[in-house]
Amino acid sequence: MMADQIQFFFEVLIGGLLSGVMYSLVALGFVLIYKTSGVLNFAQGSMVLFAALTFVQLREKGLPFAVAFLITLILMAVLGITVERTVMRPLLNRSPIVLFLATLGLSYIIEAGAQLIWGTQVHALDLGISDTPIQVGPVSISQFDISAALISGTLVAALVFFFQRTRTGLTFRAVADDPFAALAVGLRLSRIWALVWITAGLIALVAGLLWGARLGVQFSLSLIVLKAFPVLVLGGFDSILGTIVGGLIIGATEKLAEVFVGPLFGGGIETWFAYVVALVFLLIRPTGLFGQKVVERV
Amino acid sequence: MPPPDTTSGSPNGHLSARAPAALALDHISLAFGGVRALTDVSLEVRTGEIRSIIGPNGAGKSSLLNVISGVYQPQSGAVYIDGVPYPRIDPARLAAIGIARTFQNLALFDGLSVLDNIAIARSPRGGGDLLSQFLALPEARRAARKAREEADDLVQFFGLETYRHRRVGSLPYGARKRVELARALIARPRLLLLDEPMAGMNHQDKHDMTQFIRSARDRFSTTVILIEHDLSVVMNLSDRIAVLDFGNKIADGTPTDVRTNDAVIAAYLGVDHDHPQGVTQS
Repeated sequence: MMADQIQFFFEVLIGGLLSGVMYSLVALGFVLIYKTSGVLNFAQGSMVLFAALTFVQLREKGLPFAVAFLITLILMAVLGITVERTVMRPLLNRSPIVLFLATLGLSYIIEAGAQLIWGTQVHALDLGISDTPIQVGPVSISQFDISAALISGTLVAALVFFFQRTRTGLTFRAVADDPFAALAVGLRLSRIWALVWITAGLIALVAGLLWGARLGVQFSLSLIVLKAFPVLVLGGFDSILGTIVGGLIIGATEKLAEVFVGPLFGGGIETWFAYVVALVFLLIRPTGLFGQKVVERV
Repeated sequence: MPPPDTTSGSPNGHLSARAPAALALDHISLAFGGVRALTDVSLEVRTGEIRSIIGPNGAGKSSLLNVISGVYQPQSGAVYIDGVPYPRIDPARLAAIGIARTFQNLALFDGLSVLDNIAIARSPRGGGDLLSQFLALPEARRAARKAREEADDLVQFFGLETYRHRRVGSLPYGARKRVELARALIARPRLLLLDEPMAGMNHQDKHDMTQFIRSARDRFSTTVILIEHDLSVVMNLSDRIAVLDFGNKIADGTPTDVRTNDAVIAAYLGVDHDHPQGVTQS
């Protein structure tokens, strides 16, 4: 009986951690743009939707996986560059709230655009990963969850490598640290920002495929941004490492709370429990676990 | 560009008389609305020299530096670099032109390490595109290693070894000034512009910085233009000094010339402006 309990606990925990990695993936798109240009890009969710919809439509037209992926990626790049050129750059140096509202508007425009081009139907997306559980020791885990976590984890690792080890990554970090100093050493901010939006597009594409395969490609997909916010509050808005840890914590506590605390409330607490955690965090540690502390000299 | 003769520390030891000036300002005038910041200022900087621009507050020193670095566009006059006229200097392309500068209030990346701060200003000479960087292809790896070596070299040159991996924001002020100088030098500039390199420094820091500027000039064969308040530093460090007052150049010459110039003394000590002596005002 006791052993069963423990085994069940671990199954829930692992399932939670794995879905947490997918939260991290969405949050990562935010962090990337927030770090380098100080914009909280609300449109990240609609970019996820746009990517998933485009991909699924191309697949339904009979294109092979790789071709569909490539075309979608190119479209995401074009979208990213367009947004940077036509919306973000003219609004440069405006207050954060103006930029945030601009991205909010943008998210509806992208959604409507996707709807206009691809229609409003719900599409099933099959990535060819089976969803049958496999046994790892005494614990059974969803194969899809493992694959999704692996893919997300690889992307995150690649991004960390890129940020820490390449020259372009260094310029990203520099722009994030101080745009004025970046200008002073002759970094081309517009080129860097375009690259950032392209990278955010790539992340949106991967997130769109994984979440689309899990939930079906439909318009509620853009709402996964809302799942990213608690992760960001926990991990800090400007920390890649933070999004990973934040995602894991949110994923795990959400599932554990649903299973073990949920019955006390009559179930269904999974949808809002993450926000309770985030709220508590905001009260006790506003910069998140890994966010940069703001020290002001007075 | 042939490396200048840097064997001598004497004021006129770096001249190659026939080569075009490293920098020439030709009758520069700059005004903001009705305020004349610079009036008909001409200035020549020889290759390899340390050239100072001094003057009382509001004399136009910073304006002059900002004209050279393209921040301000003068209403009239021309800027020549190595004899080539630059009707318009794009501040974003300063490094490509061969000009590097430091800032009075520092423009460092406080959150990045000393090494990263220096390495970032190295102009990407080859090193491959994004993809080859990402895939860590040999060419990109070589370029990255080269950048690290060069940055490391400068870290040693400026005695910053103990700070190498520290965040710049956590360094003492004097060390940050040195990081900024190192960052300017990694781009191998023809012209190095220093905006008040001694500002906010104590006596020892100033002494060290004077040595660093001089040896940096010798080692990297660059031409140095600096504006500075501390007259004893300027007299000690400069090959030639130009003096500005109310936007006009009132004197130009070796430290000895300038020290004994009546107009300079008047500008610094003040004159009865109803009866100016030697001070030309507009």
